[in-house]
Amino acid sequence: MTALALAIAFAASAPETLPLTEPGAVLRASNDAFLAGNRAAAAAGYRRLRDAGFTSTDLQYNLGLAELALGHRGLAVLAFERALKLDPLDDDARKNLALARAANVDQVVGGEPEPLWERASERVPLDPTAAVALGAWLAAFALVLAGRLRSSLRRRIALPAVLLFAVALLSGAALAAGAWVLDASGRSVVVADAAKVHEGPSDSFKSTFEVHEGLTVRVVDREGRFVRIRLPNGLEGWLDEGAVAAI
Amino acid sequence: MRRLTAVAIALPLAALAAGDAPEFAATVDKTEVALDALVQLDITVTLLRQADTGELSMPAFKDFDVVARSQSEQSSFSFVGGTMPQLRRTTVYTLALRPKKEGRAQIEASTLTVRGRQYATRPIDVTVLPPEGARGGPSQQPRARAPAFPPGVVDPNADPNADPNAPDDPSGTFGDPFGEAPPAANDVILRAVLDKPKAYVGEQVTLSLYLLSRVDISALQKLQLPQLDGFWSEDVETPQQLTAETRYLNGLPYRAYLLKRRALFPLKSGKLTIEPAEVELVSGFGMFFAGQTVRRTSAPVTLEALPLPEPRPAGFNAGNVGAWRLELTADPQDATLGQPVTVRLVARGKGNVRNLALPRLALPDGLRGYDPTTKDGVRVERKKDVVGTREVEQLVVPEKSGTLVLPSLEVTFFDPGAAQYRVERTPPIELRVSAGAAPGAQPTAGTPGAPSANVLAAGLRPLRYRATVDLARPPLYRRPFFVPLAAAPAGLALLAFALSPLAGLVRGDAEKRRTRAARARARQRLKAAARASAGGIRSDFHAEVQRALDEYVETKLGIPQRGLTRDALLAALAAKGVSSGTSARLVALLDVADRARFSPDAGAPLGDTLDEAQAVLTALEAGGRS
Repeated sequence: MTALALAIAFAASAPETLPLTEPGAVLRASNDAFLAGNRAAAAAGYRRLRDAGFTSTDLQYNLGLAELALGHRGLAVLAFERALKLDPLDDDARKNLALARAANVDQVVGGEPEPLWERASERVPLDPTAAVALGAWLAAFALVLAGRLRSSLRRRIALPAVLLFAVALLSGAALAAGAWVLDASGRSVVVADAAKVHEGPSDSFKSTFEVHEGLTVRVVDREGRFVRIRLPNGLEGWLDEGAVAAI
Repeated sequence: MRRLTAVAIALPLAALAAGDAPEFAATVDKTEVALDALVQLDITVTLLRQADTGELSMPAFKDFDVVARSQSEQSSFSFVGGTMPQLRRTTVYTLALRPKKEGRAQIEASTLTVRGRQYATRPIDVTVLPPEGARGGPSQQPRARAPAFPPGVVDPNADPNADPNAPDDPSGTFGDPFGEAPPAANDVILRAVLDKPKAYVGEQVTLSLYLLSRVDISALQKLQLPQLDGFWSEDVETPQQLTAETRYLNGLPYRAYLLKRRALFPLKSGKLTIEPAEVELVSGFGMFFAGQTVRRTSAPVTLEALPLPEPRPAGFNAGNVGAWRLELTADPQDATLGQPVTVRLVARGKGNVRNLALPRLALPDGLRGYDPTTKDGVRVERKKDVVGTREVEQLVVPEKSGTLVLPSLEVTFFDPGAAQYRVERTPPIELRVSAGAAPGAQPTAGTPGAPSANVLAAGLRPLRYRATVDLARPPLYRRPFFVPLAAAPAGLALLAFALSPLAGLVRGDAEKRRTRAARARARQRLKAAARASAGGIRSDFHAEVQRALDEYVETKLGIPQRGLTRDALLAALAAKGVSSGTSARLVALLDVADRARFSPDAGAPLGDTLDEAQAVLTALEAGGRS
């Protein structure tokens, strides 16, 4: 009888049955399911939230753990990467991402490492940086305007204005680099277990090599349902777009 | 076993009083011998004083031929009666004697002279029986049927001129055994022999160098091998210690020493000649005197190298001669993607491994190969056959999952033993490549909500139970207000910057219009002045001139004249950049006009004043700047 009650209680609070109008409750139920060992239910709950347009670093982080527990290494890497996209300074997500990647089948050999600026840009927290850049920019112009209107203030506000402009330019550059890395660089993760990479955007082209889940690649072109990917060592080829997911 | 059948003890011809007298004896192994057999005579000389030297005289051997001789030496210490130890030097001379006739024969006495005293052995009687062949009895001379030299070896350079029965000493006597006479030519012979007279190109033949000697060899100083042009050669045997075997050559016993054995692989067909080898050695008798250095040269040896049979199979490489076996292995055969697999192709067999040509491994799609490495091993079996191993090792890395097949490899050999071509194949090898194991990051089960349950394996950071979630919003920099807000100040600044030239342009046009209007009005005033001058109305003339100048200066230069003193006017004109000359002329005209207002009939002629007024206006029009 008690077991039945527990089962009913659990069913009533199962993450897949809770309404999405209470995303916090769904998240908690998913966490409970995870800790109870029901990792599939946990992952399903996290995915429900994600697919409904909810997000947070925590959600992506927990989803990454659940996917990894289910053996979906590609999806786990994707979730951890997305958590880091939201908060590049999240050390837990970075550590778990490294552990997930360590088991990757594809260990890319050769090629040049990513430029330093690109690696640094991955760690730029975009929203705070954007706020600083915008605030410094507006304040600097406000000081310039004040100086135009009141010549007596010009000498006193010159240095702060220059400093604000410098802050605005530096943070703006960091913001642009970070935004490029996340938006324009085409960074994606292979989520299929294995995918054949072809010489052209069709299955009829010769398959030159194979990539496996968890590998981070860059999508540099798209044609039909095929995307052209580039590996860090310069290797390129086409594969089905469903095999990769953008970070 | 030697059986001493007769002993002859030395009898000192002088008194035997001295305790350090030499020991001197002669013995034979038998006293009955067939006519075609040999009897061995041993003469033993023992000297008991270190400073002693002796002179041995061998018997004349009237009833025997000396067919061989040798000697051995031995030193030892003896203790007699508690005195100082005595050095004993014993030399044994061994002679092989062949009787000359049946019946009674005698080995004469040998004599030894030491410190002026003479010692002699007793003569030994020997009964010579008919030859064994005539008697039909069993052999009493097993050494006489020892294998010919050397067994199974072609002896292409047997010395046809050598007389095996000829004694080395033409005198027929042993002579002075302590002399330094070099050994005769047929006492020491260097022979090069091949194990076969014919061989296919690439087939092994073995060259052996033997030293045959009927005298003692105390040292081998130099061995010069032939060049061996036209062969690939491998060392098969180089004895570290010379060991003698007794061999018979033309009936004479020789001690045969193997000096060198090399395997030769002919590289071309035809008659190939192995040039002579040369040896330099010391023959001698050890402690009694220094040896004699002699050189010996072998006779050239010729091998007939046969070409490989025609037709040759397609793809056959001429270096692949021998009896070879191929083996292809892959380790491991069950691999994961990216895991290196070692593929080995091993050829083992008999032949010249250095010349072997093995096929390259054809890698299927999905296998990336690195450059192979080749390792050769050569060893000698049974001190004769050169066997080799060639191992080609290649590292391959699977780039695809599934079953990858290393194809069969095939090599055609010519087997000289069977005199035919043979194809050796390896079976194909399957590599089973898996995509790899999932990470061992399995979370442990636990009680919901219990902190201890939130422990994950493999060092993973734990789940975030107190997590938050919100509707996904685009990042700040992608929200609609961000870019317009950031662009607004810059846009305004740009707008202001863009508008400033337009204002200047507007300002410039107004000034031009003002200048044009001032000029036009001044002309009108001067025309009016000219009309007043023509009508003789002087007051009007000067009034018009003054207005023309005032209005022009005010309109053009922005200097209101009314209320200004002359000094203030001059200062204002100077501030506008009007030259002092033009200013002075302007002020002078204004003074003339002022005076004319109060005394119209005074002053200069009107025409001159009008001209001056026009000139001043022209100067101001032109800028009139200093």
